Amino acid sequence: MVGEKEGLLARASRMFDLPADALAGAPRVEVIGDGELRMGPHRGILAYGTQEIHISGGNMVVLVRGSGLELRAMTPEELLITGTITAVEFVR
Amino acid sequence: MKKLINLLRGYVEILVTGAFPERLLNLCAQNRLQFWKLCWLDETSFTFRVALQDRKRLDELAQRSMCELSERKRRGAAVVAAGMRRRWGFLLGLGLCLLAVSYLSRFVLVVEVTGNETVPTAVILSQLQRVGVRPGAYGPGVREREAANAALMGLPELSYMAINIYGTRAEVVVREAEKTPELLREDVPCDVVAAADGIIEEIHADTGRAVFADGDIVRRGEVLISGEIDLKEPEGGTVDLGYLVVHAAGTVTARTWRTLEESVPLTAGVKEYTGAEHKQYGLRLLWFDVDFFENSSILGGRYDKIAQTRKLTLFDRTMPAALTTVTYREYTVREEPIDQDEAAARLERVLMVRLEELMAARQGEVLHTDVVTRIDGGRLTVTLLAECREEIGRTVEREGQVGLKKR
Repeated sequence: MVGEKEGLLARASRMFDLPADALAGAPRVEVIGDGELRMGPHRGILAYGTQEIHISGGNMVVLVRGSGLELRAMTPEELLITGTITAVEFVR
Repeated sequence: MKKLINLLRGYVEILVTGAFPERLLNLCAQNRLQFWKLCWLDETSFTFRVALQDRKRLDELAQRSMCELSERKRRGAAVVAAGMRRRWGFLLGLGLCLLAVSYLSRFVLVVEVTGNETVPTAVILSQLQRVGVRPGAYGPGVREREAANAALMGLPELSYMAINIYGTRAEVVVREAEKTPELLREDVPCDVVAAADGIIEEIHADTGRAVFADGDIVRRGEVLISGEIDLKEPEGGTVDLGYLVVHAAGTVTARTWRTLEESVPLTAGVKEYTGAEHKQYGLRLLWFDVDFFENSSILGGRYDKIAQTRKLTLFDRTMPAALTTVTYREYTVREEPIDQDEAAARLERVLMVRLEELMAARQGEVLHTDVVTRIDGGRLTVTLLAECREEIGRTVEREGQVGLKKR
């Protein structure tokens, strides 16, 4: 039911050309260069390591790969990861 | 900046161990519990730092996420302060020190006098002490301007004084007054009389009537220049004009013969130290005197008491702390005949100094001297006979008032 609701909101946002993160609560991932990644909203960290961090984004998991990764700040809305980022992958 | 704030607030570094330690991170984020310096050790443990004040909340979250916490270290100002709570004695001492520094720095410790040339510093300090400016005075309680004025009242040799208090130092700047010439009080009737016997070489009356002429012999106390001037009648006149009373003034230079005498006993007591010596110490801090061994016994009989005070100086400034050492040296007195030649020479030197001082006061000069030494009644007496040229006029007030008088 939740998944249907989210899907509906996502479809509505596409239909009305509205930002998906504002209407559907989809995660917004912002990568600055290859050293900083901000993500919000999120649902928490699923796995943590210096080479790979798994972040729950609700209906997807965001995989951040790289080296020397570090969780610098984390709030209920947003988190900040630093290090050398080589890839960001979305897994449904 | 953030590091500094964290250091001031105090933080604790914690080792987190659990099956799913990332759950604790998520809970921390949900509960807005800030953490930093996250360092993943392995799949089941990591370390991070949290603020000291969040420590208890972290325990609750750790229970919920089934993680174990162990403290690695505590750092920061808050941690130091918390540790100090147990060392209350140190804290009390520190507090008292701060209080003492902040309170005692309000007291004057040093009084420095500058600008004086002929007036001794000790005289100025003594007067300042009377008006309350002294080591130990409460700085804010000193009214600089009023104190300076009060001190000046007692020091006519000074024309200006300023007191500036800089913390524990009182700087006193003074200017000396110019010597005012002696005023001729023309409203006071006076005569010029002889201060010594002599033969007048030159007499000059500025005001008044010269009673003697050059070459006259005068005795001490005789009027040389009279303040009473006869007004002569005009030839053939019948009216008595009377006399005029004035403040007589003038110079009278005369040849004088001075006789100065000094004597000493033919025997003198000579000190012989027995070797017994005793020392006492005293400490002066601020305005307190602390005497050590105050009640200890001192030597009996005769003894010399030699006090030596060493003042503490710091950067060429005298501090209000001094150590006084008092040495008592026992001695006995033995009567011995004096060396007569040496004693006579010493007495002659003393008499010459006295004569020179006398001449300096009267703008005179010594023309010739004779010395006579004699032994009389167990004493050695030296007499100095000196022929001098000096000013012998001395102004003496006379009765009445200045002005024209009728006979």
